[in-house]
Amino acid sequence: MRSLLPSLLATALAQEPDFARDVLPLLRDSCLDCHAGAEPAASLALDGITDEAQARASSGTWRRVRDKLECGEMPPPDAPAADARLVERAQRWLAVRLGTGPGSWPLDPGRVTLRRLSRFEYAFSVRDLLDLPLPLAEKLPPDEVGYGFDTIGDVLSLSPLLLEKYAALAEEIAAAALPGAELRASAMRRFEGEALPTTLHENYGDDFGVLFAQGSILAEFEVPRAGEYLVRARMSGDQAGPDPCRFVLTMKAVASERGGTPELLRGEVACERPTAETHEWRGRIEAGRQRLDLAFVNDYYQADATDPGQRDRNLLVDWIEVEGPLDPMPPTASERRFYACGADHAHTRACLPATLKRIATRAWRRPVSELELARLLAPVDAALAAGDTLVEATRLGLSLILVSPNFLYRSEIDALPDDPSAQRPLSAHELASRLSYFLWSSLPDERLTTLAEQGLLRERDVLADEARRMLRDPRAHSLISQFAAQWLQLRSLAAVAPDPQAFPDFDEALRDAMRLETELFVEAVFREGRPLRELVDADFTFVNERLALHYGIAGIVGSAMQRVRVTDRSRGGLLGHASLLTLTSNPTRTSPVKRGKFVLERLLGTPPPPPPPGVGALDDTAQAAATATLRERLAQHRSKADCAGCHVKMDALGFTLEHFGPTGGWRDRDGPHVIDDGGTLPDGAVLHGASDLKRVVLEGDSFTRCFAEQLLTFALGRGLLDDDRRAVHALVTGYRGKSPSLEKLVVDLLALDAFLRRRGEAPRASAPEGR
Amino acid sequence: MAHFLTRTPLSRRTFLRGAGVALALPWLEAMLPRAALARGVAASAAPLRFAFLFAPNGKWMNSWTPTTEGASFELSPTLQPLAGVRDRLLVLSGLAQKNAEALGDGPGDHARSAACFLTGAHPKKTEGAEIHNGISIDQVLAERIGHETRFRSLEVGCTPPLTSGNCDSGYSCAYSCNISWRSPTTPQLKETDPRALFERLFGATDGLTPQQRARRLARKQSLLDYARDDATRLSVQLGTTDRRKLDEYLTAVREIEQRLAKAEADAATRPVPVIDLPAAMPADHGEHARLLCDLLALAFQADLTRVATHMFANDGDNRSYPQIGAPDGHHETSHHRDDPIRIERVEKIDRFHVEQLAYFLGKLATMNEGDGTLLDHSLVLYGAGISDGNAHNHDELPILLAGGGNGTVKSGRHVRVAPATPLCNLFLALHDRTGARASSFGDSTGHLSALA
Repeated sequence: MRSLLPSLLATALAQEPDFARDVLPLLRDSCLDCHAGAEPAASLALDGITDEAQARASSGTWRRVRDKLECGEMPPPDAPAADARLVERAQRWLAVRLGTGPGSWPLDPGRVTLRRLSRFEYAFSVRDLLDLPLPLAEKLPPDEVGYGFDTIGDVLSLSPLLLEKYAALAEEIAAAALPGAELRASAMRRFEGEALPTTLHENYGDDFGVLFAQGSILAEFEVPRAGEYLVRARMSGDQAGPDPCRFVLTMKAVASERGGTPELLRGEVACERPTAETHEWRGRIEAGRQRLDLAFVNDYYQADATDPGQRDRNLLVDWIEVEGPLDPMPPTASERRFYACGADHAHTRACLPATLKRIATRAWRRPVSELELARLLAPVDAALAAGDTLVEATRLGLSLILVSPNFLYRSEIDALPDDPSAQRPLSAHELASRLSYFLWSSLPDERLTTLAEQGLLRERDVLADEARRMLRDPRAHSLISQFAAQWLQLRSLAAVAPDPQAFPDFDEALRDAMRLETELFVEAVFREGRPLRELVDADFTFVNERLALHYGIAGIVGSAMQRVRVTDRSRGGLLGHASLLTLTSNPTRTSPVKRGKFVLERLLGTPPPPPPPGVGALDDTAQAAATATLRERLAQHRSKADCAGCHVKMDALGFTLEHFGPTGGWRDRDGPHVIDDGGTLPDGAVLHGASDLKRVVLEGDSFTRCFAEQLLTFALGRGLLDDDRRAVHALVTGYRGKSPSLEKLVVDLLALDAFLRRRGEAPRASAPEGR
Repeated sequence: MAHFLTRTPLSRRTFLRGAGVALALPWLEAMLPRAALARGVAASAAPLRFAFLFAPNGKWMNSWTPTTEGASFELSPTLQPLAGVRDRLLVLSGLAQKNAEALGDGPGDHARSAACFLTGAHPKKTEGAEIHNGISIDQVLAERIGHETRFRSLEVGCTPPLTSGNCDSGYSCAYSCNISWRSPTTPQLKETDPRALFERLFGATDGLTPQQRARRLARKQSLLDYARDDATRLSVQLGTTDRRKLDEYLTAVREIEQRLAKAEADAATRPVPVIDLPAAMPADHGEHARLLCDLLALAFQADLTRVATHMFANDGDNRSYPQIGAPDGHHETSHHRDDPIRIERVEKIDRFHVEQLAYFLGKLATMNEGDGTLLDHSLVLYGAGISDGNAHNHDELPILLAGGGNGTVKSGRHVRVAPATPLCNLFLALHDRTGARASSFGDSTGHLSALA
């Protein structure tokens, strides 16, 4: 409670905002005629609210009222104007209550539902836990999406099918991370010559493989790991002519199409069958399937030689052997990361507790109790007792850690989970987790974990410094691949299929280049500390030869993406990217409606309501296209009263991009019709072309606010509450029109209660049991 | 190995790849579980299988609904691909899913169509928080008969859940992408990859010795024991919603354990067919749908499950079908505005989906079991949760029931039921055929009597 000197009390009370005094008069005067009763206008009911307590009950209502008053939309033009003094007083009340300063309503930090790791978070977490970059995300089914993102705890579910995959993957990961004896053991393989294929039409071999003319005998084998190997060949000959048999042994990876075939060995075989001699080569062989090629290089044949023994020279191959690897295998990166007792993989049972404790602590993102450790060790010891090797048992321990709900779910444990009034700050470890999954989509690294253990992470400056450090780390690429890709719906680009007849030049190379352009561009804005407004309006982009051709940019050679300056004002910024222009088009034509909707929903944060049921779609037949422009057809569509309300704005915004065709290329005509890139907004303002659209998007704070809300949704893993929007609004208003960098915005979002705190769960309104 | 081989006289290579390649089936009878053989499988004793096949975005009903009724009905143009199994069909006109309607929730018919199709429930409108639908009929059946087989139920489909964007007018993608719901809050994730499905059904045959297999099983078991224990300990620390989330995990553990136990029990008696499947997802939609049909048929035949759902696509799906002359997106096209060109394209897509159904039914009809075929022992429901894609109405649904249901269905008919009869009445009638009688399901008003 504030303590005030009695002399100031009167003034203070006079300034204390009061709903009945400040707002009610305006409502009665100008609002309640329409916004009351059973069916209030715009579903906004303002009646029945008479005091502060009732007003507090719904801050969402007042955000709408504030916005409508701010832009002068209410009362509507056909109603009597409101009393300016009443409006001003109400606005003052709204500004105080909905702000974040003194007198404002306290902000609800909200409650994030237990979050299962998305498949990408799973893959990244394993990568960082074990230094093991396996393509795991592809092996898991796509995750459910809510509020535009796959990080939403309420939506992410777990079915038996998924748990089966987790269990199988845990074993797969453990085997890959901790290679066992089978990789380490040396093995000897022998290929009998008579059983091997040759490049000649037949191997006449019986005891030998016979090279009766110039050609090779071939042996393929699998190399489990790179290392030193011994290759031996036992050969004999049918000698004839002046020289002994000569051979050349080469080897090549089966998978490699290019490159030479390195020679291992060449030599002479002077003996005559049935005696044979052995030649050997020792050296490094890479992992994978290899093919040995033993060639006979000096065939000799004189059918009319008088001595029958001097007529024919043949090389005979008794066998080829491959032995190895002969060198000890160095510990893998995963093993170095894994074992607590030094980098040496020659670990012991005695080291297991320390090892498992260390890995579990990082995997579960919190300290592990002795009891938990004992529960991990018990099955491992049981496996050892049942005859597992130490490596096999250790793998089991790692599998247990990975299949545990402590790894698969991010939990935040409350003392009073079902008491909504029980608010608390997050623990340091919970905070470290939120931070790392926000910026890296992965688990905290050692530094974050240490800072959490020391209790330092909850200090504001430390948290901000860590965020800055993490944003510079390569792992922050997840803000492109996870956040931006979903914010901009880039993942849908893979499924877009422009009509191949209308767009024969659309191919996979172009699709890839489109996606890369947007990813590289967003990454540049993020990493270079550029103001976020450049996402909408910038003077650079990235193209390769294919995309440059598509855009009509000259002088770009090669398939690598290159940064270029954009001179055409309509291209710079996301709205000129072929990726977004394509995924907001239909297979056969542009869709100004989809483009307008994208701008409203993804860039301005004011999604139009969905169309009412039963409304017709646009007439897209060839016949219709020939007689009317798309614009005329949309105008017809808009003329229906049902549609006009929303379409006026959507279509106007979308029309400005009409010079960009359905795959984002520039066009001056659409079939027989000349392109008109003008659109008229509901207030009568006329826009022409992409540059006008960009101006509209960047007017005021809408874009920054929308971006911040999207980022916060992604970060929290839940839909935003009214209070979250209130906090973002106050934050963005504080920028006073200056567009922040990503870093600045991230650091500011991290200071919000929504990020730092949580509360218990409010009892659910009685669940509808199949209404 | 020898031990294994003696019991698998018919584990020969069978090729499933490609569109219309029929399975070679001499190993059919050998695939019957030993228990079934011991019983001496007769048609009456054969287990009853249930399949629910779903198509998105409604139908052009003028071409779907047969113009004549009764046993002498003539196949409509859309149903022509089913000519070969006409006598095994019961076309049901007039059924409705009224809980798929807006009921004050505004737009979102595609999300509601899929969510309500097998549940009869009105899904709660939400993009994420507090997803709430109903339990679907396939899961009710699975609850009743699923314990008999290794897989309680199978869920497959050609389209994975959408990976970005809000799916339909403020409804979470969970609704439009799932017809099978284990609980009101948990959709049953569907498998879209034929190869993964095959491996799940038959396991990877890596030539393990019995000892190796036993050890692998022991490892799996200790993994599951540990997982359950861990989840139970975590659960008591959580709030209501979090605990419900974690319950999904515990349920999954239990189900896998039961399956493992069954797998162990019949590992020796059941051979694994060796099948070549494409390494990647089939690019062709039809091939993809048919491969999944093949695998469902195999799973039925081997009695690995008796309940299955198959979504040819998620509702609201906008893929185009240029290969059959429908170059625009399906959803877009389904809003035909009575334009004859669009209607013709909708008809083509409808027929395409019915062709996939015909393939599945044809497959079941060639699989002999006891003194009948698998189709005799199955009940296959096919349909959509929307009637006309343009109007988004959820009455007059396109629904047909195929198969003999072990002699409990009088098929070869087109029956028109009283207008707005709940589809759930049909579900109750299906459920009756498990031998148990339920009093109500979803918005049912009774048991549909038109089947027999």
